[in-house]
Amino acid sequence: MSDSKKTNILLMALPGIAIAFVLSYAGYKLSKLHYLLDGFALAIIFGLLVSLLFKKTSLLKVGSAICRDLLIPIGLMLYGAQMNFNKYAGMNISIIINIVICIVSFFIVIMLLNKLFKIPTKTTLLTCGGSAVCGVSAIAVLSPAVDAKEEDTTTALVAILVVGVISVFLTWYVLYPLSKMSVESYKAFVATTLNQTGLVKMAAGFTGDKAIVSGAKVIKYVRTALIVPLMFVIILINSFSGGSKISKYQKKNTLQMGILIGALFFGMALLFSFTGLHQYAKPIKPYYKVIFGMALASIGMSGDLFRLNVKHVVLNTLSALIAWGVVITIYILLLNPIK
Amino acid sequence: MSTGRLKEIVEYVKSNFTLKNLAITNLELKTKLPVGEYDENTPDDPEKEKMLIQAAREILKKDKLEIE
Repeated sequence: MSDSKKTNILLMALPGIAIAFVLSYAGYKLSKLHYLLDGFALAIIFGLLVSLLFKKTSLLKVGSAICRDLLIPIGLMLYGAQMNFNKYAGMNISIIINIVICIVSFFIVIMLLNKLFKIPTKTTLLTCGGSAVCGVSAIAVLSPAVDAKEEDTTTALVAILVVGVISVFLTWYVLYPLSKMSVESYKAFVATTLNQTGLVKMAAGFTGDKAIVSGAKVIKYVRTALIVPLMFVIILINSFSGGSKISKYQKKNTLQMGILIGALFFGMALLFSFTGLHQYAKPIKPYYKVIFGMALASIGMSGDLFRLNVKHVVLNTLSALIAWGVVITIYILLLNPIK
Repeated sequence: MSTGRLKEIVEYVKSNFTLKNLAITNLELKTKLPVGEYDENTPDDPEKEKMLIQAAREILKKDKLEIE
């Protein structure tokens, strides 16, 4: 590529990159003001609002595309650096089994309901991943892995955000008092069933006990780490659902993306868990928040709320909510009887 | 009605370009087609196929593509 063409692309990209940075930084700063505010969720919401205002002009498109291409992998690397497998090694195996059972339950319920509601497969898979593992971050990671269209991503995001808000308040104000579970049980419950790490912190934070918040975050990180093996499962399901229509190039692209994401995330997680690099995890955290936030903001910016199929949005959100209801019922009645 | 050819061209471009979202955006800017919306069920269209192939040649800097 000639130097002048490279300069042109950079100039075209600057507005979108700058806006993504401002949105992400704003979300990050607001999240520091109150634990009710989740920086990543805010970044996506701000991005969606910008997409409404600017209707995806080419100036936003180029920058948004570059942010997604570069910052999702970089953000994932930095996310991996936050992992500490040494901490997770001592975790009670029953917690891990509960996490896996809940993940599988989310998938089964959402896939069955969405088949009934005739929701597109890619929307369903993104909603499953977001509900079962780590909310909007999972959707950001999984979207390229399933070659999702913008409306698939936006429909799934709406479901995750709506169910997230409903579930956190129902958990604290209804489920916790009614179930009479101990604070320790509550910690594992919120970390296993709420979709977003920010919401887990919020729900645990309602107890006013920092140790509970800290413990809940550790469990949530274990759940988050499962995004990588889950991604390959989702890629397989997506391939089978597309059948022979999926070209060899598409299969190659999604597999390459999956391997890249897996290698970056787990590579950094292993490096930071088992070497002296872990001391840098905390200093890196603000940069990870802003960089991954930029990727999420640009996903929001590439959305188009006007083009959404409202029926799909409502039904998909409903199935995510029902799935959460089924998962908490399984959890309370079967996995962790009232303690 | 046959489908999927337009999507195949898009995926071919992506597979030969490191920044895949940028590749899609470039195709959209050059052709003014909603390339990001294409999927395996998008009906084939010879006119659009020609436009995509031409744009793909420019983006990938090749006179002839394997997919032609």
